[in-house]
Amino acid sequence: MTTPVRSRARRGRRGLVRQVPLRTHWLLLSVLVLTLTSALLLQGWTRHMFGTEADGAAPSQGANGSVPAQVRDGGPVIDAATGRTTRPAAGTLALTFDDGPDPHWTPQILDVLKREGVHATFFVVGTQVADHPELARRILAEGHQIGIHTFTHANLAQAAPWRRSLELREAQQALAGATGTTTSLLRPPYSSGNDALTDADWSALQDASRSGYLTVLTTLDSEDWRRPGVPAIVANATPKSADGQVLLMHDAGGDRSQTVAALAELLPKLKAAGFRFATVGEATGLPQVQHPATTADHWQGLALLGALTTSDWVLTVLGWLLWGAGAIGLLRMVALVVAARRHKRLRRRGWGPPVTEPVSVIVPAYNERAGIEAAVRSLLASDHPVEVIVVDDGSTDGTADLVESLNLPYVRVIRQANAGKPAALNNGLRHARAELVVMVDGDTVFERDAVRMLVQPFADRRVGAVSGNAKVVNRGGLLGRWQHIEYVVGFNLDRRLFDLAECMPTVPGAVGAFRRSALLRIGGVAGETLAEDTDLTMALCRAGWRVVYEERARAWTEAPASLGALWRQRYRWCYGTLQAMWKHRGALGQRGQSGKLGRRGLLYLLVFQVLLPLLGPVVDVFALYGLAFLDPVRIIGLWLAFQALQAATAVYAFRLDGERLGPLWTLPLQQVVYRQLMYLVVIQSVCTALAGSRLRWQRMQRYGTLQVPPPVAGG
Amino acid sequence: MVIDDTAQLDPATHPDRTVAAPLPPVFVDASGRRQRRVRRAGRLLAVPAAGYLVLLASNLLGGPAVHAPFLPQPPAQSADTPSGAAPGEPSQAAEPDPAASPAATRRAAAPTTHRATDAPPTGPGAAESTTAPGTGTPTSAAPPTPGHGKPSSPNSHKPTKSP
Repeated sequence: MTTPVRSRARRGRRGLVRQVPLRTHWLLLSVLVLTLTSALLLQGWTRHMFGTEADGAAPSQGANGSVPAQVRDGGPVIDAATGRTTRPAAGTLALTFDDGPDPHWTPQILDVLKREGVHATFFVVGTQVADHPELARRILAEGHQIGIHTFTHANLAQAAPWRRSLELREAQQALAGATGTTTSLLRPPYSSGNDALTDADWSALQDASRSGYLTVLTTLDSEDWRRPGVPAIVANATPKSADGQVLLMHDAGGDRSQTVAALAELLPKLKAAGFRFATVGEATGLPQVQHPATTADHWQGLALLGALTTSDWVLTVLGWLLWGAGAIGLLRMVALVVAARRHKRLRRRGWGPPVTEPVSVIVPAYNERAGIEAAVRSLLASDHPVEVIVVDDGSTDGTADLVESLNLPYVRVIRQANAGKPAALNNGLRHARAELVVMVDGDTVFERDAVRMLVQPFADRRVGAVSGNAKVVNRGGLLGRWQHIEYVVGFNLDRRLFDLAECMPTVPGAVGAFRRSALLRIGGVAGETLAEDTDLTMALCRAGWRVVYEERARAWTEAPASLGALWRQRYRWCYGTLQAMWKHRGALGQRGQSGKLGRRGLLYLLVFQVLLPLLGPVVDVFALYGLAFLDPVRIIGLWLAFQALQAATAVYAFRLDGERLGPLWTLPLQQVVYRQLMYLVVIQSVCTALAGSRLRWQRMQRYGTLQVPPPVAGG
Repeated sequence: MVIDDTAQLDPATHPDRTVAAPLPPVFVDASGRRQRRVRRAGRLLAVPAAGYLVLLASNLLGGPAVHAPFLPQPPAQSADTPSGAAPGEPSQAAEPDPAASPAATRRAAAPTTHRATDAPPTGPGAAESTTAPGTGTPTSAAPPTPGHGKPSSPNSHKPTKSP
């Protein structure tokens, strides 16, 4: 929301003309955003579409007409392709555990089983295997069997065919990656006995069977997921007959201490009663349940585990970054408002004795025919004595001729061959007769008292430069309103903060006043950056001068009216600011006024105008992710809260400037186009800076609609 | 790109910078070496990212081929279990031990005898389940399908599904 407003670009600069386009960064950005989106989709699927309901909690309902009778009345191990079933041999109990592996409970259960010398079958959830591959390996190493329980504990009956297939394949890959084996056994989540199969269940089983799976249902439910107490679990799990049974228990999905305790009690008891424990495969005489995975499958599985771990890791890091960014943003809003209040109080004191000495106004102009007359006339109408120096930087549209033909008093025209804005400013500085100089863009119109207000702070001997208050004149349309908001907030909040902290990084080229002697001592305006105003201001700060903000010195300026023009302007500003920051990076370690600029101003710019915008694409992707997978109400609430805060600070800034609040309704809309444009500009600038490419000095189309608007009501 | 920024601030070394030759623009690297290096760094970011995408795609599209083993015939239930008794249903067994103890203990006692024989209860033909799902012919008096009840000898029956 901050904008150091500065002068416009309209110069073709020698030495900066050759443009080496650097576009690969957009490709890179697309790939990275796509990758992040995929990682988030994976994360959303594995973590937030995970079926968290307990297996028994979703009783199957619905027609079961298509379930063959032989299956409905058959054994719990089903080959849905043929409709054949089988069951454990009599007196045999196939102990099965669903939902694991769990880092806390599975090892305890494995310990009990080992102590009792019992082998069981674990129906594992793919994401759990991916999280704890070592547990899956231990399960197999201790002689147990593994079946899959889908990848995300999905209800296969309600899933689309592609999702059914995906759930099985990913679970199998996770298993292959973790253990190097595959399994032919499937237990669908939310299943129970054969008689509970519905048509939907049956179609899921048939799909699974086509993929090569045998389905293992249960005949005896310990109902341990209800946590009914150890005795109840033992009672539930005790067979009522000598028939072979497939007994259902759970080793994950919540507190399983009762399961562990019940198991320790149950195993000796049933063994004493003559039951034999076996894996599902052994109990039903299946030839081979576990197969070694092929090398390709094993590596593919490892890749899946790697992808899951990576996305976990990336998301954790980015999540923290976003929280950090949110916190910093919040702090900044508070700091801005507090600083603005204080600044306002301090300004009431005034600057000391009134400054009445004449002022030289330098107007660098390159092809400014459309607006130059209005600009010069507005300066001459000042209530402060001025001389105006128009420096024509080799215009081709007759700007200089136009000004000369006006025959205005106190106006001089200096012509130079096109050499760029810094050279024009330096030329004007050499010709200026007064010690106080005001620099104005040729497209900016001053209010009557603006020059007087602008030089009053020079009553303070320590002040070397003063920033005025630039306002957008063309506020029509969304783009105009957005920029208007940005200017008002940037000037009334950010600039006041900079002023209080004595680290003003920019006096806008559109409206600023300087001590001529101070400028000459630092060597005038340098031409190494595209933001000569920022560069100049930073150099002044580093030379020990104070740079202050005078909000009463208002000038009206024309903002870009198209997205393309806005893009070019912001690209130049951002890139120029980066250049100036880099040029003055030495201020970070210096003492005094220079150190204040370095440690306060430069760091502020770095965080809020470079680093946070770079996070912009991540914020957008995360917002969509939150809407899709997290609680949308909470995400929207969070967003609204942040918007409300931003709106509140904007309202405050508008109040400070006596602006009508009307245009603020467009503030929430900034989130869609404007914000993206702003962060893409930063990305482009940073990439250009890193690559060291040259770039053309862009220019802006002018329309010559400038004039000071009538004073606003309520001002 | 290396800027001697202290020199600029010193009026002694640059008494009149306004006419001094301009320094090269900040960041611009005329040699193009940095651009190449940045491109390489970009590739260093893009290649793993693209690799991740490819892996993810392969994971989402692929998966190990699984082949269900041939399902053996259901093993015979214990002789005392009426054929076709639903699992878990208390069977009215012809157990020669009509002890009036609770059903659970009574049933639990039954397997002990089987256990003593150290073999799965491969009973006579009567022990066959009523449903022979593979053939779909409910045969109560069919001849036993030898071997199917024995978990130890399943390999004699090749899975018909496997290639």
